[in-house]
Parts: sequence; structure tokens; C-alpha cells
Amino acid sequence: MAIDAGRWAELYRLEFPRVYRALLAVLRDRDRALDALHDAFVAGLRRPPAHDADLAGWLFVVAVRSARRGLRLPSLPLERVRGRSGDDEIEALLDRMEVGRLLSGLSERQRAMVVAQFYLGLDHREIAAHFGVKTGTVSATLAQAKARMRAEVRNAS
Amino acid sequence: MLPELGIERIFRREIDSLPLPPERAWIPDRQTARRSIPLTALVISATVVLVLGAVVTARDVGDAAATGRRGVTTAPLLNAPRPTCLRGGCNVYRSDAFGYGIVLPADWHVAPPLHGRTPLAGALDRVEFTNQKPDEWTMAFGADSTVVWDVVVEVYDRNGIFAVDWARSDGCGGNPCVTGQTTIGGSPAYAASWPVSPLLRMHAYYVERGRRMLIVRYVTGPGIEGPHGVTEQTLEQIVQSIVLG
Repeated sequence: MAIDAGRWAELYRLEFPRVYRALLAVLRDRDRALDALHDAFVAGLRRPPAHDADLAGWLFVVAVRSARRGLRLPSLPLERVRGRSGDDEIEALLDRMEVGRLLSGLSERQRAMVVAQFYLGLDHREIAAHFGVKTGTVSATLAQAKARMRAEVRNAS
Repeated sequence: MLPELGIERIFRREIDSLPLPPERAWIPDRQTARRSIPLTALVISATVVLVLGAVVTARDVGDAAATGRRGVTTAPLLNAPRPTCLRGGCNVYRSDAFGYGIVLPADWHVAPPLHGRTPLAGALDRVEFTNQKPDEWTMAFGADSTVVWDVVVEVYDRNGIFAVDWARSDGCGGNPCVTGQTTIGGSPAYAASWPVSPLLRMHAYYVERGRRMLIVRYVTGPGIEGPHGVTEQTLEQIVQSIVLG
């Protein structure tokens, strides 16, 4: 069933905490996470997902894509991207956490898929559908990510 | 070892402890649309370019009206016959339902509805104007549902979204995008232009009209001239001819 604007805002609010925190773990930047999630909200207002199942996964992937595009924006001076407030605090917080250390050696794409699996609870097929890639690509990306995380655990111990 | 159940527990416990922003910031509004702030300088410079472009275009339209060289008629909307170009013999399209009128060159017309095309979600109205013949038009390729070198006017429920956010959601945020402020029919319009492929470029104007958003867009490329001699200047003249009711 299609989602109207009022329902969309309601569902978005429900999912906001989980998706925002997932984005924070991936992007390690509060401004980028919030901007990306805002973009996903607007995208959903304009073209809502076909159904309201797994909205968190939908919001997460739309936001991750938006964040990636934002970094590629050549008109945005890089020093402004780097210099935004709030990064240091979240970086430091994540660095004190086990999850932060595990994710720190991964690429942003690997982090996104790992967080989608282990935090949002999506399976490989769902991740593939959301990211628009083949299930095999997801499996390979996650396998590489886990290998790096294992190495991180070994180094730490 | 990296037992997955253990990882899941760690991820859930630790990520769930990350701080949230205040709830008033969850839904975007003008105050929280921070990404637009670093673009201020770009917007200002783009505005200069657009204003200069608008001046040139306005002068060209004036010249065209005076001499008929470009074939664009600038008849006042109030005196326009209606309903309009679908019946031929006129060059003004007028939408009373959505409060706008648009002046078209003589060989332009409203494109026919294309069977099988999925209507855009949330669109209250969408009209595509083209100078291509019906058989050419149905074969034409497009970008983002817009046939290249056509002009499209869309009307949406705004749902509180601002023009700048709408443009970003359309693709402006994700590409090398040039933005600026201009006016359409006397109303402020947010102008954005970005590549939709290596050869095609989207140009869009967003006009906030109360609870509605009016968007005028066209796609140019490849090259600088479309079918039957249409150029970007032709399309700009059409955009600048829009009258809002």
C-alpha cells in the first residue's frame, strides 16, 4: 500500500533513531549523518517506497547514497567538508568503542554493508536489493570486511 | 574468531548508545538545511551568472517580440485564447487549474501522453511541451522522464519541502550542480543545473507557490542544438515566458 505524506513523517520519526545511529557508525560525522537522513526523508516524501516494510533499510541506503554524493560534490570546498563541527567528538566516542575500532579499518561501503547486516539486521538478499547490487557482491564485500575485522581483533589482542 | 551473534550484540549495544540530535532537528526545515550554507558563495556567483543570462534572454525576447525574428510571441496571457495549443492555431498554453501560462514558439505543442509511462509519484500535474512531431517524440530518448530538448512543467504538493531541498533530492546535490536564484513570472525561483549523464544536462527551476511546488525543467544535449533547430536559448525563452496566476 502506498504511503501518504503524513504516514511517511510518522514512520520516519519511528525509524529515525536507529537509522541515524547506523549512519553515524558508517559516516562518523553528525552533520553528514543528519544531512543524509534529511535527504532520504525528502526523497521518501517525493517518491515514497512502495510499501512500509523494512523502511529502516530503505532510509539507510538512500541516506548512504546521498552522503556519498555529497562528498563528491566538487563545488563544496573540501576543507569545509572536513572542517564541520562535531566530527571530533563522535570520532573519539567511536574510537573508544569496540564497534568503532572494528569499523575503522573498513571502507565506507564495507561499513555500510556491515552495519546493515549486524545492526539493522538485513540479510544479504535485502542488502543487495537496497544497494542495487548482486547478492554475490554483498557476500564478497562482507567477507572482505569480516576478514579485516578479524585482523583488527587479532592485532588488538 | 568473529562469532556473528557476538558481533550483533556488540553492534546493537554500542551503536544504540550513540547520541541522537534533538528531536526538533529530525525533520528537515530551512534551519536544518545546513548543507546549503557552504554553498552560499556558489549561489551568489551563480545568481550573477543567471541574472546576466536573464537580462540577455529578456533582451532577446524583447527583440524577438519586436521583430519576429525568433518566432516567439509574447502575447499577454490575459488575452490568450483558451484552451490552447492542443487545438492548434495558437501558441499559448494556459492551466487555470494550476495557475500558470506559457508562451510557446509557433511549432511547439503539448506532447501527447505516453502509454506505459509511470506517472511521477505525488505529481498533481505534468505537461510536456515539445517541438517534435508525434512519431519523432515517441522515439526520443529522455533523462529522468524528460525527453531531451522538451520543456516540462510539473506541479506537486510541496509538503513543506523547500525549493533548495527539492532540487537536491532531484539530483542537484549529487552532481556538479550550479545553483542560483532567479524569477519566473515575477516569483522567486531556485534554479539548478546538473549533468544527468556525460552528454546530457538537466536544467530545473523550482517555484514555491504556497502549498505547491511548480517545477519547470528541460534537458539539453548531446551537442548544442536539438531537433528542428531548438537551442538552449529557445528553451530559456519559453521558461522566461511563464506567467503565474
